[in-house]
Amino acid sequence: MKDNNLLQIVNLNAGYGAIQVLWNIEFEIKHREIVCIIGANGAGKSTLLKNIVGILSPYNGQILYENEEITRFSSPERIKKGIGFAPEGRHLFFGLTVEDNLLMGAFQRKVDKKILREDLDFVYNLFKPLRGYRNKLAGNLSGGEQQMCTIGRALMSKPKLLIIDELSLGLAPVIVDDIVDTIIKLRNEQGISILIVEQDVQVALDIADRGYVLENGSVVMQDSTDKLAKNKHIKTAYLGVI
Amino acid sequence: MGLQFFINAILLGGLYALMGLGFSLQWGISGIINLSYGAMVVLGSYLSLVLFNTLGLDPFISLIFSGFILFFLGALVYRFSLQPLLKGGIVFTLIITFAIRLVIENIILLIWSADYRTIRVSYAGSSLQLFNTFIPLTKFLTFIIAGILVYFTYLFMMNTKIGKGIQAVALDKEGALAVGVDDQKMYMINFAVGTALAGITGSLWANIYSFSPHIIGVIVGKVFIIAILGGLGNIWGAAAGGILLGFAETSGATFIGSQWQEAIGLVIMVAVLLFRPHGLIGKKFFG
Repeated sequence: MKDNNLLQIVNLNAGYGAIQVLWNIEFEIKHREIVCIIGANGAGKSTLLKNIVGILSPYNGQILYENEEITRFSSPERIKKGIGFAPEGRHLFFGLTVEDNLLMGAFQRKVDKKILREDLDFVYNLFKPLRGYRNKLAGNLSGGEQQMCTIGRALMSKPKLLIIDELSLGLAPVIVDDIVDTIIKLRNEQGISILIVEQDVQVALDIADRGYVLENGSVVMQDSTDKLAKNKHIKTAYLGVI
Repeated sequence: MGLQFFINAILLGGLYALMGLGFSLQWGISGIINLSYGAMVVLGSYLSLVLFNTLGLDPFISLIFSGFILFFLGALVYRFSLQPLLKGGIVFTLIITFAIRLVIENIILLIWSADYRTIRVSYAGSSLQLFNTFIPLTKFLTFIIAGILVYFTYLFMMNTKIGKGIQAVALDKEGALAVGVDDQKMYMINFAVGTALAGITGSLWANIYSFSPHIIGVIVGKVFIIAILGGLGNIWGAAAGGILLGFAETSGATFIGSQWQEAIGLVIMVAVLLFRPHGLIGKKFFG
């Protein structure tokens, strides 16, 4: 395996109990790379993410992170190692304020308040609306603000790999553009690698360097997003070009 | 008469608040309807009895031991009997907790028999006097300690790292997993905190009332009422539910007749279920 891979998945089989969802997955993310996974509903995108984060445990295969095998690590251990996760459906703590939600993102870190304060400032500078709403309950935010809060919460764990499930789901296009800009900025300025799962294939191909196409639990195609955008199968199946 | 009624009700309600809190946390947060809760309360009473008879320890001090022992018992019960069977759903946890109740109940019967026991501390007869009303000293101290413990539980949930983790799993389990909270560990600690509160309640109970394995069922009935009145997993809700049940039972005993004391709590519970099924406070946890 190559040394510049942040994350590498080797021959992964996984699923829920007796129902296998993922078949022989080979997958990698390099340092400072934005990678997208595209695929229809039920293709296994979220299942793959849950295996990377450690919420699900695979049947067999290997997951390597910074050249260390983490396949049997618990999800708190992986998050401590620098995998940040913004789950599908956001799953904010609605009963807590925006700031408490963000602080919850640092649950696995043992650092003093001053550093947490700086990290909060970093998130507020990234997502400007959140600063004004810091003492507002997360349940009262709009959809776009909630998505910002979820990504901000994931960033509070100081990840080297940020995983975002369903970035644009239910958001207005203007807001999506804003968040996309922020994500590219995060990679360029902070050097964070980013893995996104995205329903809107056009958005996914615009933002990512490389893409994987998942169909029925297998990787059927992987390439640079430029090449994927020109691919006939992608055009007809995912972009609606006839 | 008016003031005496009020004082009786609130003193009883304070103990009920503490008693209901543990059950409410276990049900509302860990998702376990703990049918062994009454047995754990009574176990706390017997622990205090043993410490009183052997070392002469005041139940207000031995409650510390009851709390610690029941905390570890709760953690063990959760880790080794409830957690492995969570996938079986709520019926499994009901069966297991009922089985644990039977085990504890029969151990108590074997060691201490079914006779009613009491602990009489030297100051058991003393009272404080307020105008023309008497406040029994043991009941007054029990109320103060119960209040402090409810408040400490609140501080623990709001200000400690583990408390925040418990809040996280209670508010949104998927969200908690996403930020790296170990959900099963939080459920276990929360369950153990609940059993510790049960044990402490038992020690306090032993200082005021007589106890035997027969009261286990009565206690389970009461904690169901308190938890439902207040809303599950809500600390101030459980406290309010406890005080309310204290008032309900005292008015039942005062105005209708002491044989109705237990019935009136059930009537109020049915009314709450009909008209405010989320409990009087109406919010889940801090949400």
